[in-house]
Amino acid sequence: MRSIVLARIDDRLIHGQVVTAWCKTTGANAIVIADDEVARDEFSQRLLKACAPPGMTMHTLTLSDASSYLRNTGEGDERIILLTKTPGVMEYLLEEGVSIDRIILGGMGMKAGRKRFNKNVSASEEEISSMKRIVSRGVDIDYQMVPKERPVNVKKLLSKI
Amino acid sequence: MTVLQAILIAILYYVANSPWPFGGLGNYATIYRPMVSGLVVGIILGDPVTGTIVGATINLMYIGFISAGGSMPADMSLAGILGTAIAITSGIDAEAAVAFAVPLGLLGALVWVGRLTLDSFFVRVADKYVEEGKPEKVWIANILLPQVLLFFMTFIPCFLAALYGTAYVKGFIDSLSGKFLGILSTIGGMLPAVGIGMMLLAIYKGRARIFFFLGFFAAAYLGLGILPLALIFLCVTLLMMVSEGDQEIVKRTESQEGVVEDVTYKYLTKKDLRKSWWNWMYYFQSCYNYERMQGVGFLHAMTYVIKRLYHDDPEQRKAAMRRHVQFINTENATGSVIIGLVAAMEEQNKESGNIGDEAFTSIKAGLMGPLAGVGDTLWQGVMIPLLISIFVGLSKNGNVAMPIVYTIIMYVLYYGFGYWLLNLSYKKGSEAILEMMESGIFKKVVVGAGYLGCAVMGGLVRNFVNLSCKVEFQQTAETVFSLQRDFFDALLPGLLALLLTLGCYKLLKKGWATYWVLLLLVAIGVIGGLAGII
Repeated sequence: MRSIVLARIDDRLIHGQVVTAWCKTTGANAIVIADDEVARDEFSQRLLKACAPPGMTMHTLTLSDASSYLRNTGEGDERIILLTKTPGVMEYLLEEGVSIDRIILGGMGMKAGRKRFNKNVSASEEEISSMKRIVSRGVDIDYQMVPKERPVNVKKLLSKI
Repeated sequence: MTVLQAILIAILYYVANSPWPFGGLGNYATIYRPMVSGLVVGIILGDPVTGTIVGATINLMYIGFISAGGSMPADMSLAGILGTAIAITSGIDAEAAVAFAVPLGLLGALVWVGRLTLDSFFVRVADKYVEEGKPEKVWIANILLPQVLLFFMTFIPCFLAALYGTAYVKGFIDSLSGKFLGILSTIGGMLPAVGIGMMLLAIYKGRARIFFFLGFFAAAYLGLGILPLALIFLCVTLLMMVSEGDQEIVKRTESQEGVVEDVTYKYLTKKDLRKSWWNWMYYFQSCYNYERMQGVGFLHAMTYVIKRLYHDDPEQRKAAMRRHVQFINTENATGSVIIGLVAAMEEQNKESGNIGDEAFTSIKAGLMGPLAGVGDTLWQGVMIPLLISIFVGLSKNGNVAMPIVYTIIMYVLYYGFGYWLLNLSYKKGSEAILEMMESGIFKKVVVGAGYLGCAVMGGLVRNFVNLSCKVEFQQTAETVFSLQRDFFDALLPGLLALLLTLGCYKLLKKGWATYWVLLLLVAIGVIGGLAGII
């Protein structure tokens, strides 16, 4: 059965923390990247596939493909790390009926339109309200860079804004 | 300890966290490690042999240590430096020093968080130079200000701890009874099991598990030291990789030809490119901050390219500076690829003027993550732990040359690798990089190093994890049956150490936080020691 063992928002997508820490502790054997831009860019796709850790399957999917892929329980044992660049994509997947119990906020880089949110996370107003809507659906969002770190529930941070 | 010695030790702590003398991650791989800094502390305190022994022992705790993408579980440099200083000044053995060093490491991690938070202020300074179009000033934001800050953040606490703390700890240790110190040594002898357990978390899987036991048996029954063990298993690993590789067919794709005109080295000189890269290797993380991560460092590296290409065009200069001060977070050595590609793109831009900001952003953002995944695994996950394990094994008897040999090997490998990637990416472009990644060469290295690493870990367990049972029975009137000598050692020397390490590994794998595992071992040590069992 397909199951999501980790849903993580991080605009670096796959990188050191994911590969050296999360892939090991979650026992995942597949990574799903839900991102339209990546799914349509051949270079990124090839790069991400080539950089997948040994023994991991890499799926780079558009949002709608990711949604149907994740809703379909499938055959075989696939333990998935779901990576998205923004909370908006997580919200979309939740709305589509993908079952995600808990979301980890790993990192969002500073760029135009974003403000400092917490440590290495910056967010735009739209991204903040998206996170609020996710939380009000009853899905927890925790800020946590690596598994060893204590997770910080984003609810409190959101209420400060 | 004299004031001068305390000053030198505090400076050493700063240096371990600074870009000098080996560069950002060059330092992190060498002088930041307790095995290397232990030697230097030993030299400062007039006992390099003890320094090396203690540093190597403390280093065992941090073999599986990874700091990725701005996370920092503990500061092993503080643990190594102060732990060694405590051991030398108060005359306790290396094992007992480990018990003091570990809590210091956790405290040191606070410096890291403070630094990443405060460095964000210097991003404003860098932004100002960007808007003024002054690449020649970027070093102030990237090096001068953050390094002055870092100096105070590291020097002051370490100086106070070295001068007053060690005297205090010495007084404390002198007041302790022999029994308590014995318990401390017992605990310190067990603790490396946690460090090795953490390393196993990353590599103990599949066939590699057999290698772990092979390594252990080779050390336990044949008495092999770490170096012979590593060399023998290197050959075994290579043999295995060759037979595995037979099935793999390397996928090659047709490279695109004649799409863009080759303008490499038309505007930039070899020296410009080298300077850029050197700057990246040394100062990429000098102004590390939560907001842009290595953004200011990347801009600083690019200033050599920008100055050459746009010295007579203030608008282009500003535009280039703006796009390179943006958020970037990647691994240092593999990140050389981005330096090479971006330098080549800037040259194209100079030639044709039609490469938009968008293209730069997407190449940087697209590459930084995957490259960091590969780079962190390769260096922090595999190469550093493997080499440090071997050299810890060689240093632990007090061979002062070994930390130095390790440092030289590491430096050459690291910079050689980065320079090779720089040239490949600059001259051959992104397609060549993709092809190399797709060839699976890095995965092979990682898998192979996992096998070899497991064998070495097995050897380390036998040689450096100490746990023995003191229970004895009166057998006959004259002879005593010692559980350790007549049972465990007769079966398999180091059996208890093996079980302890695998136990720690299991708990860590279950998701126990490291400090809970550490506390458990402390509890076992105290109870077992008081009861006279271990």
